[in-house]
Amino acid sequence: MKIGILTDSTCDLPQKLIDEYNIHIIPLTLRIGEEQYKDRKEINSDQFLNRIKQSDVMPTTSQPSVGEFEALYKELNKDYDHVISMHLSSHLSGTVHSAQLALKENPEFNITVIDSKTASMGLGFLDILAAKLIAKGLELEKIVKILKRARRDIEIYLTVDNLSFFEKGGRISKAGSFIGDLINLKPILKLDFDSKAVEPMDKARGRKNTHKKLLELVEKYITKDKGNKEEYWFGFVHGELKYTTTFKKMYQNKIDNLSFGCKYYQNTVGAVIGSHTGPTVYGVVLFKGGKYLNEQF
Amino acid sequence: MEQNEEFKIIDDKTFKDMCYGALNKLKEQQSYIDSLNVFPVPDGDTGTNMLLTLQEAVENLDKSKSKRIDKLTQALSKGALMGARGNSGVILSQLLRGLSEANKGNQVMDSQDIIHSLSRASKIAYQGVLRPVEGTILTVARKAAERAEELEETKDIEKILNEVIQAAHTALNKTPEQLPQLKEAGVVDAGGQGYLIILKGMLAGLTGKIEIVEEEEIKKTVTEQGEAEELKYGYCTQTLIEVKDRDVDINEIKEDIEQFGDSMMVVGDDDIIKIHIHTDHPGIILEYALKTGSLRDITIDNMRIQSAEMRKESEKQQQQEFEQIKEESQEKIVKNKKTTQMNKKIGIIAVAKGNGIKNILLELGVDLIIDGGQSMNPSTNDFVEAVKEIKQEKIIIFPNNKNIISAAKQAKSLSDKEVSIIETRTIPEAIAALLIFNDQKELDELKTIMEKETKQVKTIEITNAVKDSKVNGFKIDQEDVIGIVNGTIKAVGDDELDVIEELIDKEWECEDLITIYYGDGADFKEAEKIKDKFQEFSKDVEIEIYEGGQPLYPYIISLE
Repeated sequence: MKIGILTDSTCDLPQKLIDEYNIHIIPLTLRIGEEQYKDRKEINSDQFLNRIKQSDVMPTTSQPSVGEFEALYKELNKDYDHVISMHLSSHLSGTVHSAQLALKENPEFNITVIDSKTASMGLGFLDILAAKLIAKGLELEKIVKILKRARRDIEIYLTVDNLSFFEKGGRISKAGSFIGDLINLKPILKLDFDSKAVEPMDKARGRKNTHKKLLELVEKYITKDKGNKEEYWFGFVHGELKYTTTFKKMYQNKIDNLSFGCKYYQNTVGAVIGSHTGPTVYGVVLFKGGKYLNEQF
Repeated sequence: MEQNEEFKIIDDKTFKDMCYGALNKLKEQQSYIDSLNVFPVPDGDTGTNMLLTLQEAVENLDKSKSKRIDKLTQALSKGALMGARGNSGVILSQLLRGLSEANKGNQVMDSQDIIHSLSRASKIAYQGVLRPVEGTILTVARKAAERAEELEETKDIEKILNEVIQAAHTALNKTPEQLPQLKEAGVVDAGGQGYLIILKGMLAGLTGKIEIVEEEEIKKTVTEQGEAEELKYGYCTQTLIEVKDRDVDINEIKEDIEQFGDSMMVVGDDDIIKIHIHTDHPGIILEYALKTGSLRDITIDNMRIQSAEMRKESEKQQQQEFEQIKEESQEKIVKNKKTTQMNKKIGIIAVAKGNGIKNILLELGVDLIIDGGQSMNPSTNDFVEAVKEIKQEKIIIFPNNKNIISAAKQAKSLSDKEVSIIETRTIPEAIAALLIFNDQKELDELKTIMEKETKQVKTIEITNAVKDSKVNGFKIDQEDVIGIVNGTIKAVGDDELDVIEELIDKEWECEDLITIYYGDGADFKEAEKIKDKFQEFSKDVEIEIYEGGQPLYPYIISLE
C-alpha cells in the first residue's frame, strides 16, 4: 500500500526535508492590504519578513478552502492508495475543518485527516515521523495510531518582544493584564496538545532571563521522561535572526552536551505563522521523535 | 524637694518625668545625632529614627492610666515596639523591652531595679541582633550595664545613673577604635550617642536639673556667608493654587515657568499645588498660575532689600514647607485595585517612594505599598497595619532598604499571619524577585529562590552628599555627587554623568540588562545620556528607561 503525506504550509520545515521525505503541502493564504499570497509558493520567509518591515498594515491569514482540498485530494489519490492529511491545530485555524468537510463531501477519497494539535515545526516533526514510519513499512492504522499518540508529546515554547501581532491575530489566550504596560516584560508562550490557543505561561525581564527560562523548559522536557533512551528531536524556529544568535548558541550548546541521541532542526517561520507571531519571535520545538519511531508493538 | 535628698525610689510620676526628660533631650540633639551618620547620603537618619521611636513610646506611656511601674514600662515598651523605625529604632525598642521585663511585678523601681533594668536592656538588645557588632549602641548599652552591675551596694539612683552615664560616655568615645568606618569619618557611633543622650535625659528628668552646656551641641556645618551674593532675580514669588482641573501635570508647570527665574520649586497633588520661584516677573507667574486654578497665600518679596541672613532664613523655611507638602501629597498606603480582586494565596507588601516606581511594583503584582524609603523609614506599626490590611494569611514583605528590614522583622514577630521577609535593600532587587513570584509555592521556598534572584542584580544609586565626610577612602564634600553600588560608595564627583561613567568602567561586568529609573532632579533626556554612555561601552546591552519619580536619588540604575 502506497501511503502519502499531505500537510500545510505552516509546518515550517526546510524545503530540503520536504523534498527528501516527499511531503505534499497545501498552502494557507496571506493577505497584506490588497495583496494576497499563497504561503510558501508565492512568498517565502525572507520576503515576508522584508514585506512587514515596510508596511504598517497587519497581515491576515486564511485557511485553504474546501474546494482546494477536494482538488488536491483527488490529485493525490491518483498517486497514493491512501493519504494522511495532517494539519495545524484546529484551535488555531480552520484548516482541519476544511479538510474534514472536503472528505465528508467525498467519502470515496482515501484520506485520513489528523488534527496535529500543534503548529509550525511541531507539525513538521509529525510529518517527518509519518514519512519515516511509512518508510519502515508500517500499516496505515498503526501509523495513524502512533501519530495520534505522538502529538501529545510535542511541546513548543516561544517568546516575542511584544504581543501586538498575537493580539491582532487573536490566537493567544486572553490572560488579561499578563504583560505590563509600564515595564517591558518578555512573555514566554506555550503551545502543546492541551492548548486551546497559544498560552502565556511566564514572563521575563531582558533577553538573558528569557533565554534562561526557555532553556529551563528544555531541561524540564528532557528530565520529565528519564526512562527514554531514544532520540530527541529539537527544533529551533525564529523570525529575524538578529534577535536570536545568542540564544541559538546556548541552545545548540545544551543539545551538544546531552548524552543521548539528538537531532537538531532549524528554520525561519513561514509567512502565515510569522504574521501571527511577528518578526521578533523565536522558540523551541521539543519532541521525542525516536521514541515513537522505534515503538515496539 | 531638698537639694541633697537621695533618689531611692522611682514612682510613676518620676518615671514619666524621666521619660519626658529623655524625649526632650533627644529632640534637642536629634540633628546632632543625624550628623554623625557615616554615610553622607540622605538616609533614614539615626537621630530622627530614635526620636520617632521614643516619641511613640512616650505617647503610649501617656495613654496608660496605671500608677504601677510594671504597667508603665510595659506601655513604654509596647509603644516603642510599634513605633520602631530604622535599625537604631528597633534596637531602642529592644532596650526598652529589657526595661519592661526587668520590672515585671514592680509597683515602683528602686536602685536594684534600675541596675537590673540596664543589664536586662543590654541583654535583650544583643539577642535582637543577628550578628552583633561592637562599637555600636550595643557596646555602649553593655558597658553601661556592666558599670551598673558593679554598683549593687549603691542605693542612690542619681549616683548610679551618673556613673552609668560616665561609663557609657567612655564606651562611646572608644567606638571609633572598634569600627574603622567611624574612625575614618571622624565620628562616634550615632546610635550609641543616642543611647547616651537618652540616659542623660532620664537623669535630668529624675533630678529636675537642666544642663546648660553640652558638648554635643549641634556643630554648624554650613559656614555663614558674609557678603550677600549677587542676585540674579529680584522677587521671591510664591502662591498656592487650588486646582480646578484634576488632570494637571506638575512637570508641565515646571517646564512652563522655569524660563522666568531660578530656585524654582513646584509641588502638590490633584487638589493643591505650591509654586515658589525667584523671578523678575512675578506678574507673569501669577497670571500663569491663574490658568490652573484659584490662588491663595500669595507672597512676593523683594529679595534685593532683604538682608542676606533674612533671605537665607526665609528660604530655609520655604524649603521645609515644600518638603512637608510633598510628603503629604504621597499617600501613606497604596492598595492594588487589580490584585485585590484576584484569588491569590500570598499577599505582597513593598516599601517604595516615587509614583513611577510604585506603579511598576503594583503592575508586577504587589498588593500593598507602604510609602517610605531612604528619607522616611516606616515603623513596625506601619508594617503591622499593612499586614492586617491584606486579606491573605501568607504574606511576603519587600523592605527595599537595609534600614527598614529590622522594623519589618519586628512586625513579623508581632503578626499572627505567616510572614516572610525578602531582605531586599533596593527597588531593583524587589523587581527581580517579583518576576519569579509563584503563588503556588510555599513561603520558605519562595524566600530562598527570591533572595537568590536578588543577588543577580547590582544596584547603582546616584545622590548628593548631605554633608562633608570621609568614607571608604573618599573625601566627600557636601553637595558632591555620590555613586553607590549595592550600598557602598564607589565614586564621588561633581557631575552625575562623570560619576556614572566611572561606575560603568569600574563596576559593569557585562551584565546585559540595564534599567534606569530616573527620579526628582532628573528627566528622560538626561537619562538617555546615561544610556548613550553605556552604549559607548557596548552595543549589545539592553537598556530600558523608566520614570521612577523617587525623591533624593536622581538615578537608580540596575545591572543584571
